[in-house]
Amino acid sequence: MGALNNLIDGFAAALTPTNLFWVAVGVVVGTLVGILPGLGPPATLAILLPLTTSLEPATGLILMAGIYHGAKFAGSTTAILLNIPTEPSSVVLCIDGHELAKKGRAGPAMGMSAISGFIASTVGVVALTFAAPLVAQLAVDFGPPEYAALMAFALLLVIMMASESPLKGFISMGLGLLLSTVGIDLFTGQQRLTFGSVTMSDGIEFITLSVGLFAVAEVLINVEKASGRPLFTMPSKFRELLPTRADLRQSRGAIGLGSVLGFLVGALPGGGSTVASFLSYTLVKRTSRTPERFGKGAMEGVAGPEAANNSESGGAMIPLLSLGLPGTASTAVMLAALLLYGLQPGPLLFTEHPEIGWPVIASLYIGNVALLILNLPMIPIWVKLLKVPYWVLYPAILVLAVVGVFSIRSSMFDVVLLAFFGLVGFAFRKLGVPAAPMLMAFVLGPMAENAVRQSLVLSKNSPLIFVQRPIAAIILGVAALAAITLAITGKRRRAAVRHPVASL
Amino acid sequence: MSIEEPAPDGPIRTELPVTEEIRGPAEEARPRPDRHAIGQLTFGIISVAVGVAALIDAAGLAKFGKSGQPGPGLFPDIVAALLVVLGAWLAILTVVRPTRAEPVEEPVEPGGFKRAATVWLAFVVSIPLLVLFGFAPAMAALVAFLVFGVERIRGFRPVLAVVLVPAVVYLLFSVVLGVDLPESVLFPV
Repeated sequence: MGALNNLIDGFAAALTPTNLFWVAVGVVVGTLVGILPGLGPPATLAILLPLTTSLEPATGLILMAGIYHGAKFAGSTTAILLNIPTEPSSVVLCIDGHELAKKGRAGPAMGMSAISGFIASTVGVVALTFAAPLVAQLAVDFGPPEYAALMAFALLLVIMMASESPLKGFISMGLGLLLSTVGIDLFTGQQRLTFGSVTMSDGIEFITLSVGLFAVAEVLINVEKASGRPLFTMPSKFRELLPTRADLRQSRGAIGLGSVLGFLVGALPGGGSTVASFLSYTLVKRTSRTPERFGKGAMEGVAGPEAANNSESGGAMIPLLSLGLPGTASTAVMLAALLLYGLQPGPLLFTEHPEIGWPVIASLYIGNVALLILNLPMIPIWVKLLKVPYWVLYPAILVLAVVGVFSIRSSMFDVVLLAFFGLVGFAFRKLGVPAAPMLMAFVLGPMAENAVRQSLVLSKNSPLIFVQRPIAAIILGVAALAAITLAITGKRRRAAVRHPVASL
Repeated sequence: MSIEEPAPDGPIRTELPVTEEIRGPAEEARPRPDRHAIGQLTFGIISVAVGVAALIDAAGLAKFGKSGQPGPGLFPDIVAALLVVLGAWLAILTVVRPTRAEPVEEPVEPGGFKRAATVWLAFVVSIPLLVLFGFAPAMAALVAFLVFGVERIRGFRPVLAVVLVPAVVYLLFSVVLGVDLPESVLFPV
């Protein structure tokens, strides 16, 4: 009951007219800034950080919560409407969200994004309030071997993601892993796969790869198909701009799964919303009775990842507030804000500064409510973007893509890579090679490699460390079970296709 | 008509997915090479080539450290070798079983590929223009080429698009948000 009372006190402190005004400002500004490619939640928070420091600590942190949620929603908006992932965690939304937009269901997809995010955020805040000590312990117990096991599981899920074409999915994943090794090795400082190029030693930016594979490739595909017909179907009634009851019913399981998964992954330092959203998408697809709809505009393909993406913010606060460890880039900016206010995040924050700690948790929830109230009515306005003729829209997308990629590290080489990856994405689409495994492997690759190498250093090169530690062994066991299931179901599916009558 | 048979991983096409309306009578009579299979074979070969190039580049990196711990070359080597095997497998499968697991592509308009190639080339050409003339002029030139040259739109609206798209983006990013945009080497500000 103590935690509940503290949370109620937190809400009481956060729910002042001034704070509500600032959270609304945060949501609007976060949405407007976060809609620009390359400016995901961490960058948006960093840009707007000076705005918050002139306010009272609780008010400033509440403003940041509003900005954070606004920027997250903005990421899903551009992914759904324009197939531009402005941040890594919104890449997965391009897969089904943009397909829904093409079918005239951009509004329902965006509505589902906001609603599933709201539900997941509620789950995240409740779990943060009551399960924080337990999950914090899990986060502490999660060392390199556990990460290595988790990454092995995640990479297995990546292969599952490409169930329609496992071999091409495998190759796509291999290419992603290889690209992730380009640059300087963190352990030894040696250059890898740079082919002697100095510019390559900085490695490849995720945004460059994702915007090229998705946004530029999408433009090329649409230009190739263009026939004077509008590319997007526009709904004629306002009601069609929001998710239906059937959509919500269909997405219940995906939201539940995404919420729990997002919270748990978010609580692990380094886990992050990208891993959470990808894992959620893959698991939702694999557990669906109709996985063949995924990739063609399945509402659960939006609901699951968005739920994970939003409940992750609750989970990510656990290592930050209880251990003083920022697990993600966004929480690192929040840590900076707390330090600017003279507050030291850690186990003592809630006992020494309860007037800050609990309102921060409450503000996460308030930020999400404000997002829902302010952005649901805005959906029809956003959707009108698709009414812009494509001959204006696609040059604008290319211009924004250049800005998004160049703004990351002011490198013209990144713009060259953008054009190259755009061509690769186009070829992938023409050949039926899934791009998502490549991106997922690109994100997971460095985490997996570092975890394995750190584990082997810890165990003096004994691979038994991966099965001797209980959590790692359990994760690897689940991964092995999943692999066996994958092999059996894949074999049955192939047999069913070869002998359709016999399988009836 | 394309020949379709049930396949392990989805419908099969043995020729280009060109619709009846698009294909002319002369093309109907002439047997066409299976472009998709050629594309898939090329993809397999490119994957092998990328893997081999990575293996060569990573050859100088230590696979294991002095005390036997994994070195910087181990992970790239494993992935590159995997890529070689998988790429070769795909290429062999394409040759041995050419009708296996090909995707159904969406129909494209005649000249569509040429349009897409032109757009991509224009985008590539705009990169040196970014360096030479800076963001706003280079992007205005790109938008102008796409609108007037590729889309062949005429009137006042395209002129407005050519002016407004780069100008609004420049103002928003560079002036309002202070984000770095490409600057001209010829006319430094």
